[in-house]
Amino acid sequence: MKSLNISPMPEQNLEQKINAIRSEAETSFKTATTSRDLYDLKVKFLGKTGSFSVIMKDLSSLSAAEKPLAGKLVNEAKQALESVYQVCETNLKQRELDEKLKSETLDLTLPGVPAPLGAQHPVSLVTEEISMILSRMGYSIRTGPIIETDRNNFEGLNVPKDHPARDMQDTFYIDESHVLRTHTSPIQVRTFENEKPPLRIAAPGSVFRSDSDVSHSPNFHQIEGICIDRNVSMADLKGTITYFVGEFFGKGLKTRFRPSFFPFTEPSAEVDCQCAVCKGKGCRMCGDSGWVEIGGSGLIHPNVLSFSGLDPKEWQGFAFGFGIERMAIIKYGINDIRLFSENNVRFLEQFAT
Amino acid sequence: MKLSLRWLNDFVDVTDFLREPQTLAKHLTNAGLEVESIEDQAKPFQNVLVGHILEKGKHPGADRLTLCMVTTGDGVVHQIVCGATNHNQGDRVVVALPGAVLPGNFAIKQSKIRGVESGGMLCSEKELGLLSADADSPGILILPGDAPIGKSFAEYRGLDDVVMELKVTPNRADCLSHYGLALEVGCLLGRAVQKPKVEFKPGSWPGEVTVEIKSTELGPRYAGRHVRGVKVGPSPEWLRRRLQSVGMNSINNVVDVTNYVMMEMGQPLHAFDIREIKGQTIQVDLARTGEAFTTLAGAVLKLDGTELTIRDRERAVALAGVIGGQNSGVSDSTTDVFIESAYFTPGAVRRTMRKFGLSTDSGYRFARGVNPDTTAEVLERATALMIEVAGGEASRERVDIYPSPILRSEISVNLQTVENRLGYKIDAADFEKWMNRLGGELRPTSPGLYKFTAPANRTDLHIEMDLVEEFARLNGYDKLPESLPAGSFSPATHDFLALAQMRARRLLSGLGCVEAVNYAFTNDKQQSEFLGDVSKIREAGLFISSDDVRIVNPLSEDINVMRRSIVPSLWRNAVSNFRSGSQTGRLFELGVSSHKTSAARVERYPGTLYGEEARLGFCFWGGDADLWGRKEAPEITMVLKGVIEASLDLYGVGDVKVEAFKDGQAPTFLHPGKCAKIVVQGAAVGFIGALHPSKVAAEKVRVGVAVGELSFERLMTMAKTPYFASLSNFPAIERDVAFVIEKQTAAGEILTTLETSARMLEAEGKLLRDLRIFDVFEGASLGAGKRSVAVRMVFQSLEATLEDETVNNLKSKLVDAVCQKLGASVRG
Repeated sequence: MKSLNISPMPEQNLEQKINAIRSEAETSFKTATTSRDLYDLKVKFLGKTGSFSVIMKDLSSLSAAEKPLAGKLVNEAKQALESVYQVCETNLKQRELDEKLKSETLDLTLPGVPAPLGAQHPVSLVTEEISMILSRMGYSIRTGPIIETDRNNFEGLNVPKDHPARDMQDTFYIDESHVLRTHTSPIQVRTFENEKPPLRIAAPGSVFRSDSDVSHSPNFHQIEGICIDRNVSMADLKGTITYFVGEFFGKGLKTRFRPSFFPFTEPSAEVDCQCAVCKGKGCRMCGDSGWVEIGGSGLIHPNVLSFSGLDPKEWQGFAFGFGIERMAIIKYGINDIRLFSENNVRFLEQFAT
Repeated sequence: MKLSLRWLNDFVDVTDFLREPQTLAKHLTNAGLEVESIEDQAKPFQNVLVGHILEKGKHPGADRLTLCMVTTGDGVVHQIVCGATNHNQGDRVVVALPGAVLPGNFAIKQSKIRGVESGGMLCSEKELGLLSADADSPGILILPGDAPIGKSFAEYRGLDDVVMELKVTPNRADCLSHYGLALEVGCLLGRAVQKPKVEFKPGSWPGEVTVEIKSTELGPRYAGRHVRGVKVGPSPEWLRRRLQSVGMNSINNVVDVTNYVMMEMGQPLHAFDIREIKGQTIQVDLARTGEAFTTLAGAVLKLDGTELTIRDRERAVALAGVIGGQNSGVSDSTTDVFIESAYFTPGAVRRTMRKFGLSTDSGYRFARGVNPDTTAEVLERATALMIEVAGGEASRERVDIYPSPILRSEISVNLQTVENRLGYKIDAADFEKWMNRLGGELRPTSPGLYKFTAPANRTDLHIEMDLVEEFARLNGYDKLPESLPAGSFSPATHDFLALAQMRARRLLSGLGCVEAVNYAFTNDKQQSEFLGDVSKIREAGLFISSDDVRIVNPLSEDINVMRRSIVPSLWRNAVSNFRSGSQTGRLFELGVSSHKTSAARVERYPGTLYGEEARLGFCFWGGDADLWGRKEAPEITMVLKGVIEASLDLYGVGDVKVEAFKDGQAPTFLHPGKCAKIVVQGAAVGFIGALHPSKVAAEKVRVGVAVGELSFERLMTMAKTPYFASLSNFPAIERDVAFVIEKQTAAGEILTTLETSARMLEAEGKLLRDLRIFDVFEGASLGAGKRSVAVRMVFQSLEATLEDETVNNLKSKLVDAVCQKLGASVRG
């Protein structure tokens, strides 16, 4: 570039002057220690009354031919300084932020602001989990009242008055014809009257027996599954229960049936499954037998079907029932039945969901 | 049912199981006769042997004690100190050596008695548990001179029995006796079964008792025999021991025979003293109305004419099948006995037992059903045994009245059906094998089709399914394969209540509440005392009956009525939690309130005279003051209110308000100044409030307690499915206004007034998008009896950015409405 000769400043040409300011500014930008100082320097050199503005005023004395060249030089210098400023500012701000954060600390080992913990009762947790497993198999949930008629609780289930099977269930009476339901089975009597087979229902609920000791509560919970279809077999029942056990306790556990008697099923079977704790090896939970009793089951008795107007020649069914507390005891290792009705929050909070 | 293997062995050979009773137990359990426990009766006699006294001398330090040298045949001489005096040198005695543990957990150890070593004990019958502890003891037991020295005493005396406790299901009445179980074991294992022997020579004289059945429906068969010249006395030891082994006490030889034969054959028997049978006639008939009857056990019963009785010419002498009368039982002076063996119908016997709360071994068996075919056969057995142990002579003939014999019908069975119900292929030979072993008659009619006549002892077999079950259990449940039902069906929807409750539990536990599950019953006094005047609970929109639904036969008075409200139990939970150290807690429960139904009330579950309303109850106590600067916990009732609002919001129930109770109308268990009704969509659905301070203080709970109860039944029908509302793209404008109102004016009135006024302004009013109270202030600067309530109003339009002027206009209209309606002024 051809050098310019600006007359008012004969000792130093304009270009030299610009370069001098530029290098002075560059050096001071780079040595600034705070972003505040840096900003002040920016104002000093590049501001409205800064060094370059003064030069720009002087340009007025230049010839029309010289002016553009001089302007160009000033702009180039300003732009270059601007980018130097940017770099310095970024660096300084980063350093300043780092310094600031170094002085700010939060002890995250202190407890967080507490959000209250809720929990479901293990009885409802287990009821819901079983309901959902059965639901996946097509069973629909049905409910019924806790004060039931003698008819629905007993007679409709092949337990006529004066039948010895009544002794199997110690019953609370409300009056001559009403009882606190002793099992969830009256729900099937209600369902059969309102819905047509084939059907699959799951009936959970609170049940009552006038029997109380360390292992029996007078008010506990059950759930039962009922399947009514054409040509249903004990094999189907066993397969269904094994599938259920796999879903609830874990895959691979075997089930076993033992002959038993319930007035509303025939054949009837007690259901054992391999202990979920020791996987059948034997432990305290299962009394070293490797098996735990989980419930009762069987093919629905023809008298039960007939009572509700279903022809046992056309329709058969199976039913299986589990005690909810029993399932919770096995699944969660709960060791005292009283815990289920005491509602101690330190117990319940262990089942936070 | 207690089963003695020695006794069982009389009828079927089970000697192989005496050493391995577990194997037999497994067979029985797998056939449906669950063995609950196995007792090895020889166990208390371990290290108890037949000994021989070689020498009897005096204890050097005690006159009353003897010092004996005893051998048990192995060459070792045991020096034993003995306190009895009835033994002599050369006697065979029972020696308990160190290591033995005699009945009563009495452990024999090597010890020093008055300075002399004693290595065992010479035993008396009492110490061996063969005589009751209060019986007179003649000293140690001296055995016959031929007792083999060194033999185990249990084996020598036949005490090495094994007794199983069986859980016999109600359908298996046939298994309530040793002979019955012998038939079952014989069937299961394919072993021969022998009947007990019946040998006696009847006299040539006719019996003196005549029998008449007046109620053949309840007492279809009655047999009996006159035995005269019996000598009542103690039973022989073998008989006493057998009764003892199955848990029965020996009374006298005559009564013991009736009990023994019942335990043997399953047929209950009764022995009358003929002298006491007026007119020597027996009638099977209903009781006379109002008649008094004293049982053998001494209970005085008042009969109402529905009970089946055994009567002489004048009076009831027994409650048929249940228990004999005191007026005609066998006593020490009895010489002439009438043995009764009858068949009474199960229902008749069960009704009598239930009515009087009686439970006897006889009634238990009749109520389950005894075999009507063997009534006379068992009578013969009992007669023979009675003559054997009590002497006397039987009349020439027995009485046996059975006007219309009960017939057993043939059961048709199709092998295909058995296969279909069990789900596996069955070999016809297997099926035939098991049916034949059952002891009935199987008659093939065509391939795969049979007619089966059940054996008389199996009164439970009537229909084809009964045989499906019999085959399944005899062939083994382990043969069942596994499959899944193949049928097609259309899945139905879930029960609405169950689904709603599941959702509510999720929401509430997510909001920090802990679920309680209480008994559905409670104590009547506690409940009534807590609830007070229940009409006030109805004020809150909760149905509640004035009277309790009472349990007729409560287990205890603690739980004698159904819950009408669930708050009292939650409060009990809170108290026990507080006492066990939980200073704060948030319980909720989904329970029911039980009531008698009225015609006006539509119930969820038709068909009963009682109803239940699903309820949601809460009890919160304490509060969270924590290290994060909240030194003062918020008022617990407001915490509960927040949770109820949030849960209803999440549940989809909109338009929730609280409304103060009218003066004096609040439930009495609530703090009168800190409670309200909860009103949803214009209807009261429950209450919320601080528990009355006197209740809190009475239980010494030192933190605030809030309770609430809502009709879950109503709430769940009010929930709405979310429906999309357009979002505005224009800025929202906030305006805060502080209203100064009278202190007693409810703050909620301000919001209600603002909402109502906005609604009345129609399109313009719709610009008010949100409203909320964000500050409440009371202070001297406001003037006495005043408070300031600051409300934030948010305005937004769906169509445009709102002009300040539009917002200010609307705001002043709304504010004016509040000032006019509530006499409020705007602060600052």
